Amino acid sequence: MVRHSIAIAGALAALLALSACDDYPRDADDMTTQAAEQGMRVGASHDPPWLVVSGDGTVGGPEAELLQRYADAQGYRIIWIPGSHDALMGELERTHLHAVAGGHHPDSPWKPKVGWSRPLGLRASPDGPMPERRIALPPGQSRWQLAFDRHLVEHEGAQ
Amino acid sequence: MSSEGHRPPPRELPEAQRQALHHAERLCWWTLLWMSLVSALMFLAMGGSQAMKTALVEDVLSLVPPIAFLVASRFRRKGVDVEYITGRERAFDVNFLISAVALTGVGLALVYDGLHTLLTATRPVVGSVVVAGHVVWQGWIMMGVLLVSAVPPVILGRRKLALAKALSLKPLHTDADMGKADWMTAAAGIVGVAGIGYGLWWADAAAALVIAGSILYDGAGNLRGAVRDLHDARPQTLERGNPDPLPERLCAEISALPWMDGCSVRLHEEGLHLSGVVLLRNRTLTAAQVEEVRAIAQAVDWRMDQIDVSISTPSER
Repeated sequence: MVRHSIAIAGALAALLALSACDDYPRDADDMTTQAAEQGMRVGASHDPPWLVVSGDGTVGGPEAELLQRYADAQGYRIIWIPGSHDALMGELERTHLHAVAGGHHPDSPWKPKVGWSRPLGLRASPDGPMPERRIALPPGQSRWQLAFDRHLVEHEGAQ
Repeated sequence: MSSEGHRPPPRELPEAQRQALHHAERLCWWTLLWMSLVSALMFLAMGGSQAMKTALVEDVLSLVPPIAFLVASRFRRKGVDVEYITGRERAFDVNFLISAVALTGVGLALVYDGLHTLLTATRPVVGSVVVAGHVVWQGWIMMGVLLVSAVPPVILGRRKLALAKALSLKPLHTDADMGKADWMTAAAGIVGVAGIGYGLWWADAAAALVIAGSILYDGAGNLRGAVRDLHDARPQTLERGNPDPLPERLCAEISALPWMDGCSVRLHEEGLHLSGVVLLRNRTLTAAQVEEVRAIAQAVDWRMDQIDVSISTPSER
């Protein structure tokens, strides 16, 4: 019993030491660094009124604005990649995109395969309903996801 | 009276062993309670970690041996009747086989799952949770729950091990052994989740494989034991691997009888007890001599139950 207690105490001490590090948790594929150096690649799937992809390829709507505010706050340049939802999610799963907005269904088969942001505190119109909307994030990028979720909760009124 | 000669009821357990059996049943109920709570907690905190999922499956699986033990112990108490004419002492052996098959099957499935995750380079998803207004990496919650999950099986496992020794009861010993090993499962899970935090996506799948491997190892070992038991193979000590010294002792004590021309014993385990045949090389055997041999057997150890005495055939000599 004593040996176990020592092992558990040791593990706890190691965890506490880890939590003191600034760069923990980290990304599996360094996507945070990538966003800072090469821009933040965001997949946009036409899903009015939340996310609107116009004929000329420009992206608008409340979710696009939210992502733009995040990029501005972090000093990232956004590269919009409009496309069909499934194709974009495939790219996201392979960690080629930093996020995918629009077109998500609550019972989507993609649900367990990628990460999901905290629910956004967004309304399509000032007095409209607030359904549960989330941004899809690449899997395995803990630092990236944590930073995005912190921004959502601290600056965008997400829960 | 029917034509079947019902076997006499199994030998009463000595007081200490009877109490140990009651205590073991109580511990099994506690195990069910604690491990259900732990499993529920793990499920809520699970996230996308393969290692944690595997640890959860192990925790849910650890409910099987105590359930089987409780069922078997209740079934065994019904004893000999018109249908079960040789008694129900093998209830524990049957439950042992069931646990072993469950363990092996799930172990195989989990090894496959872990390999698949590793080979397809699937990145585990670990999101964030909001605790009192602060956004926290979910990995911390997962590691905390894994740490908590290690405590009850270790404590219960140690208590069961002591009882298993007092009762010489293999299924309880196996259950206790698994419980004792559960802290390693939790530790491997924590290493896996901590690895995700370090950006090592494969650490999680590798930790899951280690846990799955240990489940499979337990399962295969128990399956081997269960097959031996069903074949009435040579009795083994509690930890298995070594022959039980009881048959040897019995043979030595019987050989000391003045009228004895030589003897051999063929005993097997039936749940808590040892039963079997004592074969004598004498040409004739009286009822009084048979009783004498039986009395010696009963005196050797409380575990000796139904001992038949017979004259060996030439091929058995």
